[in-house]
Amino acid sequence: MPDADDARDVLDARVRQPPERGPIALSAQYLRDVARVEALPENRNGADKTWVLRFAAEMGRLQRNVVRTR
Amino acid sequence: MLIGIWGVNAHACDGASVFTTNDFDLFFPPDPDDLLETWHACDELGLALRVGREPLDSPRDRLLAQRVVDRRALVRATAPGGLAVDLTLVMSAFDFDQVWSERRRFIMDGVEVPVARLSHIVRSKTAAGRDKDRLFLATHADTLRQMLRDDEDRR
Repeated sequence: MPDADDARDVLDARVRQPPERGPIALSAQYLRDVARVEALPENRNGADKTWVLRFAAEMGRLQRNVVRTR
Repeated sequence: MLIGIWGVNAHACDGASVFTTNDFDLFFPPDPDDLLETWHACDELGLALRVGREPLDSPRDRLLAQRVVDRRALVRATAPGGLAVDLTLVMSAFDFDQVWSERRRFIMDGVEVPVARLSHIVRSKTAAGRDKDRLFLATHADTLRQMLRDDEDRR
């Protein structure tokens, strides 16, 4: 599985790098994206976000039931 | 007020932008009465309260709550199913009033939940600067871009 091997190589290389230190800088684009997401109609005050709780609970249940098959 | 990853999740627009975690972070004002009321609610719900590895002292009275406030100590409420709720008095780079004044109010299960602004949560993670914050922010940048692309496609 070359894709999986490539992914493992990337992760191995990342693990070998020394950990980054110091303050985290956010790009201007990222900050603009955050502002745009905050302004979406779905994020107005009073929006019903019950689905997020339901979705996360279901994902958690699925993850707990995952078993390795090989 | 909801902060942390679940504060981020509250701003999600679809399932692809929800981060799965059982850890909730609730940010409290430095008010011992408020904290005490929360501890009692946790007791009624059967949640165990701990400070570090130790159970929170008893009696759980105003004097103890004042000590926790003075030390800005983190109290963690846990349930047997794996739910963990951090009752924190600290949010890096912000004080409570600043975040509260710009909070969002979302509805979850019919209850109005105060949620810190996404931009405040992100800036707090920047200030905390832990490895896990670095990893989260990198992942979140991709998630935001996808969320905005999907939004443009819908309109």
